[in-house]
Amino acid sequence: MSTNDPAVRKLLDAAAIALQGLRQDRRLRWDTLVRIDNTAEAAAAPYQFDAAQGLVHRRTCRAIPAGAALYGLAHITRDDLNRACKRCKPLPDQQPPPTDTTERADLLFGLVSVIDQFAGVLKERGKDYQKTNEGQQLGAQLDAVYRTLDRRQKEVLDTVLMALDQVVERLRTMDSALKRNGTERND
Amino acid sequence: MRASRLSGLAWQPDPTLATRIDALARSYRHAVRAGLDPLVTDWHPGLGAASSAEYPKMLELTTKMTLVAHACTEIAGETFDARRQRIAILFGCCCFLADSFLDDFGAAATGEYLRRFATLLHSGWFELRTERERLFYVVLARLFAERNVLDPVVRQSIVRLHAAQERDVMLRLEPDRVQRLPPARRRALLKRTARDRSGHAIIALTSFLVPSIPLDLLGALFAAGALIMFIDDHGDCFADLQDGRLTYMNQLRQPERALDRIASAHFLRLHALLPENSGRDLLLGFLYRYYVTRIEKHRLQRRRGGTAWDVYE
Repeated sequence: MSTNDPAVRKLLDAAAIALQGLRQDRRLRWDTLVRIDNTAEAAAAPYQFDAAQGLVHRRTCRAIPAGAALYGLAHITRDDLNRACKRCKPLPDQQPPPTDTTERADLLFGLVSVIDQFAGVLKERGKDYQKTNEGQQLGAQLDAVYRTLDRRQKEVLDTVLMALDQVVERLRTMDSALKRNGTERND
Repeated sequence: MRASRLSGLAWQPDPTLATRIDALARSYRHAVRAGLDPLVTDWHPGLGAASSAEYPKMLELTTKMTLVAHACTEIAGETFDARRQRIAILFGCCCFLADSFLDDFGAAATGEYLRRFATLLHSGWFELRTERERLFYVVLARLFAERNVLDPVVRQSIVRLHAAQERDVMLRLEPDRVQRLPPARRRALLKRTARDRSGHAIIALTSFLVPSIPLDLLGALFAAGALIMFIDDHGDCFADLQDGRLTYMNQLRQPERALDRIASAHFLRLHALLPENSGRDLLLGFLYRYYVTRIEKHRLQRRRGGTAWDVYE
């Protein structure tokens, strides 16, 4: 069975909703499932790309206009120099900066939160991801992640896995209820 | 169509392009319906009810989003395969539902949705209260599962899009504050808000579709997104005014002339910046078609009136 099978997809949808339901019922106490908002990291990135003007600036450049549509960049390459601001003249780093602990933790949370629900699509997604610079460094990064897990992070990981067990249990209950009733029920 | 500056552009649509766009649109209308019908039936059956005027509008918007997604994927040198088509359909549905939370249920519900969506972005938790929210969350979860949502550009585009929508809502909910601004500042604020809403949306869409977006492309796609919003707001001038919604386009004395100027500049820029491939032709052809049909929509609504619920090609 693949995750694109409609019946499987529907169960996975129900799993996603069940996970939110557990949180709403206060049966899950962890604060973060996955944090998309990276505003602070983006603002602190050494380079800022103004998508409206099409220019890369150094973070502190005074030529960045008010209300610019900025994307923070951890590093730039020589290919990006044709987009460089003439005032602050950003230059590419010799080597990409190391991934910080926060990003490693985010990566871990993200992987754990999607693996159980969406394992089937990870393989397809991985094909694209391997083409990126980040993807090519992923193997090394994952090694680093597991080596640098501290006690708290290991505890969080255990909690996440236990919560996923609860989701699976709830799914089983829903599934048997559906079979008993012989009809599909919208929870 | 009246003479427009677009007829003097270096780039003109190939005569076969219109046929290609028509064929793709027909094919994607079927694909969109096939993709969304089961989701709507399972999670929000009321939306798909025969009496719902909303569902056909959602299908049409998602079809357009799929066409744009096809163009952006090919521009980035990738193939618009079945999986990417699925992503585009989910993205279109997600945008439509998010816009409905912002536009259709009153000021209190709008503020509440913005607060809960901010929580979702910060923590991944989303309080589900209605069938519509359940469908939205299911679509979002499927979309997030298709791509590395922790990619910095994916994350930033989603957060920036949310911030732009929040600004747009504040302008709508507190029109007096906007009206008090000097006209030039008011127009600049409205123009920037329109630019950012659709600019970040097309970056979010593309970053869900392709492994990475080079900076050259990121700037060009942002411009294409901004143009879509100016064209859209021109088409909706009268409906927006009727709903008390201020936009850059409905604050101009001669919006058609302004749109012509904006579109000409954007077409020149896009033609120069985008790589020469079938994706570029498709995107420019789509924008050209959208421009022409929205000029007509504006004229029609000026004569006959209209609402935001009217469905146009």
